[in-house]
Amino acid sequence: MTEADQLAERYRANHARLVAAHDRLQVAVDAGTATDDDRRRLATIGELIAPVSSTEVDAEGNVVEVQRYRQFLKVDPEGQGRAVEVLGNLPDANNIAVLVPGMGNSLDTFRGQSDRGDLIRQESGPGTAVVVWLDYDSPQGLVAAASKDAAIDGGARLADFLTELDDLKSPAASTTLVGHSYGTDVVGQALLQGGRANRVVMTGSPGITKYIDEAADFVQPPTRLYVERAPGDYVSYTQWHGPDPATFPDAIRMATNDPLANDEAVSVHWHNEYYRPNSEALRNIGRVVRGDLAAITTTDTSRSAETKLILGTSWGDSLAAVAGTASKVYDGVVSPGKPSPESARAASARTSAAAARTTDGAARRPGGPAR
Amino acid sequence: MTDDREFLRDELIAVAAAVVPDQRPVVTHDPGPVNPAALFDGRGPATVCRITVETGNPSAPDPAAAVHAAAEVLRARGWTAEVAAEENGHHRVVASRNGFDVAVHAWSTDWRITFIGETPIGKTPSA
Repeated sequence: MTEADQLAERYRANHARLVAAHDRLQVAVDAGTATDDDRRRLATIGELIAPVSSTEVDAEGNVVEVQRYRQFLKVDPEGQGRAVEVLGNLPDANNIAVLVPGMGNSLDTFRGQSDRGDLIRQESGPGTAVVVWLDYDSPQGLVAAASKDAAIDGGARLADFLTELDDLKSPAASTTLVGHSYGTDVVGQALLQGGRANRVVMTGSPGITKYIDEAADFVQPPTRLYVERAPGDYVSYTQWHGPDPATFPDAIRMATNDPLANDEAVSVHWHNEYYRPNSEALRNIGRVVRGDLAAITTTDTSRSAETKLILGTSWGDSLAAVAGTASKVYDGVVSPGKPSPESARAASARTSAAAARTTDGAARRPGGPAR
Repeated sequence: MTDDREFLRDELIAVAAAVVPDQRPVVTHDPGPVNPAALFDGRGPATVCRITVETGNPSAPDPAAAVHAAAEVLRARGWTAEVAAEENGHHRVVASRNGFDVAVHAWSTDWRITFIGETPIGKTPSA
């Protein structure tokens, strides 16, 4: 059996597992014994086993619709649920993004994460495959998210998956880890536990751990860390899990908004808009995934400047201070001891310098690519 | 939101059909409402629909001409549309209309033209 055949068989086996779970739940519904959770899960699995469409060209040169089942490398339909889905052709891909979702996710929210994966794939262009990796117990509330336990446990599993991915992809293919929110902590823990990728993207990070305040602490060369923090992102400002990666001196701080765009530009604010179509935030993620690093746009805005931009008064630093105090009531949460706004500004300047001398691409200063 | 979703799908199909008249556009992604990651990530109501439609001219792809044609069709249908500067073989149209956003992608290395649309953020989902 070829590797391609083995992969196809794995997809088929996980589809069959979902079908079996669907059948079991349907029996419960039909018997009137199903709970509300059962009914919700039945609807979720029904969606996961439905075929999806792509386009190919037939012998006459016509664009035709091709349907196939979704490609799950792993799926667990029980409890909170887990899934690892491949979007695109993994063995033939030149560029692979591994998307790691944040808190509040389960099998029942997987649609949103798969949707986000599709946006990344389209933005990154031909030859890209995206793996939506939800193989950890995503915290289901703020108190749970204050703990690092899920990140540490998930990080080990993600590190193992990255090793496994080496056997599934082309040796020449580049891998980019893309973590959002709590998912950035999972990514960080994976890298600390031996996981390797060519590039790492973090959006809206609450920090990695108390003692990590530069990329070199957990990202091994020549891998580079690319970070996005949008104006008003309260999760990044709180630094719940550690210093904000957007302030790391050796990270490349990517722009989330196009500084040259007119009023009709797609804006990215707060914690929830990094993946908006046409936004500079998503464009930069696509540039990283496809390795078009010279086209990346960067920024060096401070917390106070960002928050003043949004509400007319600076509140980012105050939020960080309050969060630092509040965090002490939670087990496993670190108080943000640094960086200060001053050091953050200095770090941003150093970040820009680091971006300018990056060896795998010359990132641009605000102003961005010609458009 | 159902109306928004149907409007967006119809618009994307109509624009794709106008850009490549002799091919039939294919809806490749239309999963239904997702949450826009309100507050944190997975939490929050599903209030946004994203749809992807693909078409192309496999025998003679011309991504630059395709995005200019797409922008013209979008404008004719009431959208504000702008062709972004080409970026290393990546051609794009940025379009919007009443809170809807559309991205049109075409690449020098592929025959496909991809139309991605998003319904307005922040609306309360219908029952």
